[in-house]
Amino acid sequence: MKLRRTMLFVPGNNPAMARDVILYKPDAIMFDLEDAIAVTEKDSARMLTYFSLKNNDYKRENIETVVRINPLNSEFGRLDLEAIIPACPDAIRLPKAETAQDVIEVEKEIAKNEKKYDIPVGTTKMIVAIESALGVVNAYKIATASNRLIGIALGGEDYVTNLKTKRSPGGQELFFARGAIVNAGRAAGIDVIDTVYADVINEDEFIKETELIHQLGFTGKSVIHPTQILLVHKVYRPKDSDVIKSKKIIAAAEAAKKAGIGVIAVDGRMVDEPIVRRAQYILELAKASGLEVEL
Amino acid sequence: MKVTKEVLAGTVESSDVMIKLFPYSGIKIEIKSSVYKQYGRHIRTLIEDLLCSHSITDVYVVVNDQGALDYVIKSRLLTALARGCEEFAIKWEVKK
Repeated sequence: MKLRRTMLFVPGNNPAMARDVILYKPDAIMFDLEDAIAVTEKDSARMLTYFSLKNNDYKRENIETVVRINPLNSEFGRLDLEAIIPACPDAIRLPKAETAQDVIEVEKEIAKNEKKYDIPVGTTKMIVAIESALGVVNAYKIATASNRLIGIALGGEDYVTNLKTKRSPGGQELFFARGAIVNAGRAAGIDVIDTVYADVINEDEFIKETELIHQLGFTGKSVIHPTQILLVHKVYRPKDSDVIKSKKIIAAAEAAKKAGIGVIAVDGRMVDEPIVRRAQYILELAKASGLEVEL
Repeated sequence: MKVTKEVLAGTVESSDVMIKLFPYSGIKIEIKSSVYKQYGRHIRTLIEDLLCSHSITDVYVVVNDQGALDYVIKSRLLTALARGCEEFAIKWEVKK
């Protein structure tokens, strides 16, 4: 089970950050070739991201590698895929998806490049970002448009611009989008990533926002500064009581499996499969948070 | 192949390298590096090998290194060559 509590945005053209990210241990790194890169430097960022992926062992640190490409309808999107697919990132993040067809087009282009470079077709996964009102309306169709999709993310800044409003501390303007995207993602069986919080100095508000999205059901959050990583991981750290309960559930499930019994009972209550899976997820989070999870 | 216009790639930020290319007859490489004593020769060899492997015969390369790793130097040089040559084909290779 891959944790995606934090996805650290790194401009694809920044060699120091591409190297240092390993020290900060986010669950995922997202090399950005899109909004963080000036038009005149798209080629440079593409080249450096290709080399960064090939020369840094992110996998050894269990850091998932994601590359946010430019839209296919720009002059850069296809060039991005041609360069990045052979560097074997775990996933491509597609920005500003508004329809299922947007996802299908990128999938076709990824497959074309996988064939060109003799990479087994289907190897490269996808994450899709919703950044407009139309995207939110089509969220479930988008989330189910490809078997490669492992996550759906909210791009809050572009979304609120599309709504003709602006970000606020309480996040009311994102309420509908957050709910719709979590629902769509969970219905599709994929992870859900919240938008960035740009004010890196305001830790209290960042923690409040993270607690909110955690409660809403988001798998994790996009972050733009290493200091935000630990704050998110702390919010996602399971309570001790939940860890104790989950250990009991897993122990009971294993005992039932050994005994060939289909029904699992914990503290006199029947426990079915979704609860066992939730217990496994809690123990994964606990282990990643440094808690003791041995049964 | 020759570089036909003045171009640059990279930055002078820490861990990066700025590479400027100028049209020139033959190969000339000038290196300024914060670690020149330890790595100057290594950087020169890296650049010479990359120029040779891409059949570049005519270029004046000015390197301002701020402690860039080898792959960063290669990345910036290839970007500059793609910008500075008329037809420069980039060969992307699959990660092993």
